[in-house]
Amino acid sequence: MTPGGASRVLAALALTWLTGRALTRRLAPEMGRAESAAWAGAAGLLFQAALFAACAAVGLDPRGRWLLAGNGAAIAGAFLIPAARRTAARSSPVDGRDPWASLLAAVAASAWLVFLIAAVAEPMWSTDFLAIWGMKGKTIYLAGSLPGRLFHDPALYWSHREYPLLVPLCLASIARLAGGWNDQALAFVFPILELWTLLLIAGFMKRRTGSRRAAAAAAALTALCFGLYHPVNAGTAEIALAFGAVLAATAMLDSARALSPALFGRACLAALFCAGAKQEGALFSVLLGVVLLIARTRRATSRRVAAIFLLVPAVHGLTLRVLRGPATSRDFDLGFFEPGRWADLGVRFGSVLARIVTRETALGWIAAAAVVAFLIVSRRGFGDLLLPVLIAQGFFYTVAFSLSAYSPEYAVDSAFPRIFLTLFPVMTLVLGARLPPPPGTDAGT
Amino acid sequence: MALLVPPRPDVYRYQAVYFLAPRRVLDLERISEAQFVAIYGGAGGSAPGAETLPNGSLSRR
Repeated sequence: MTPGGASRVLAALALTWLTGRALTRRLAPEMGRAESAAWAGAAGLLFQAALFAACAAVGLDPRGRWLLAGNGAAIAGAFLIPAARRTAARSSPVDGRDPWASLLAAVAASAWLVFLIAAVAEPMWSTDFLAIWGMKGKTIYLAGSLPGRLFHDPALYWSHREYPLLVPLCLASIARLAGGWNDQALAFVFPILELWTLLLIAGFMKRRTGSRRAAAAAAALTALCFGLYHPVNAGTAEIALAFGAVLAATAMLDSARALSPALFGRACLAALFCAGAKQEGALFSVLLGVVLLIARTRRATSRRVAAIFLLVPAVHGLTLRVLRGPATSRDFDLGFFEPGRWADLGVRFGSVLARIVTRETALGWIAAAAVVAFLIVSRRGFGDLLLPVLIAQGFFYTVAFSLSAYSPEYAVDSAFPRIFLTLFPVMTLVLGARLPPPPGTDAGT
Repeated sequence: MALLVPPRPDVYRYQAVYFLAPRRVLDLERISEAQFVAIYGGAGGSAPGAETLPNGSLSRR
């Protein structure tokens, strides 16, 4: 990777963030700088993907100068609307200096640095990058459009034609802005996504608990999740999905407090980011909506946010369906839902569960035991609202593995750790919210 | 372009499709739709008149 290639991609990412910052001026009135920076990153990436897709849809080759002009117009347009007045009244007071918080923040920063170096040390190489995300991104980048054959060509039957397109579109638009497809420099996208995830977790925890220690602990736990932040995931949707899930989870937890009307915008953005990253993200958004509807938070705000979490993935899925036509997955055999095969499905469900417990959980049993023990001994926290969502998501993963068109054990071994770990950053919100609050703060509200 | 590579591991095919994007890369079953045929190593012999490349050959159909 040449310094020029790296600097062009970093400049494109900086422009993406600046555009997102302008677009989210009204979305984050009560947030600190860390959280605002993360939401700006998410909005910027969604904007780049949408701009590229819009150019392609009207037959305009999305050259760098068109994209630059689009970004400029978005920034100028955003500044015509007055920014939301900053409000800090509902945030918890933040505790003073804490050496543990500084240490944990240093751990998080060091772990992030490790992933940064590992991710950009060589061109992205994982099988899923070559076969799915990178192949689609490079094709879209070079074609300057969304070639229909990505969705219908039988020769690409293995490329998961049904997957959503946020990651390929982001890679293509960043490459266009950077002036070339450099599959080593483009790897910077993924450590930056991790950085935004860490900033979001730390900023949210600090705002809601008032505890620097809880904020740094949650961020450090996330950064130390090397199973997720590993070079094999550079170039795939998992890191983007983890970011989207944290965006949606924080919006969901905020909805229980009805902090500001900006929350609806954040919920829309988060739900769209989740659904655009991967189908698991759409499922996560729907589950957030369902849990909000049946939880005891009866505020009208919660119900509206629930509606957003339910509707946005549906609208996104419908739009994809209209634009590209039907695209079925080769991974699942839905015939198992037929009454005559329910017994088979039950047997498969049992073997998937057994495989998860005896192999996958056994591999990470120390971490799993620590999480369970902490949940048992700690007091309930405001993040517990996410537990039913995480459990339900795990249940649906188990069902999905049971429907595998191949051996369910093979499906578990090849995909379970990867997709399960995308939920871990959300889990750190649950864990961080259960840490004892610093004296004199109203943590847990 | 039709591509003849060993069926396992899959990454032979994925890597070729990625590097040749946005070209359409086909497997042996769809060789009739291809303008060129690339053969990796000894995966399928080599066609008459094929150009020899490092680790394989390339021919026009």
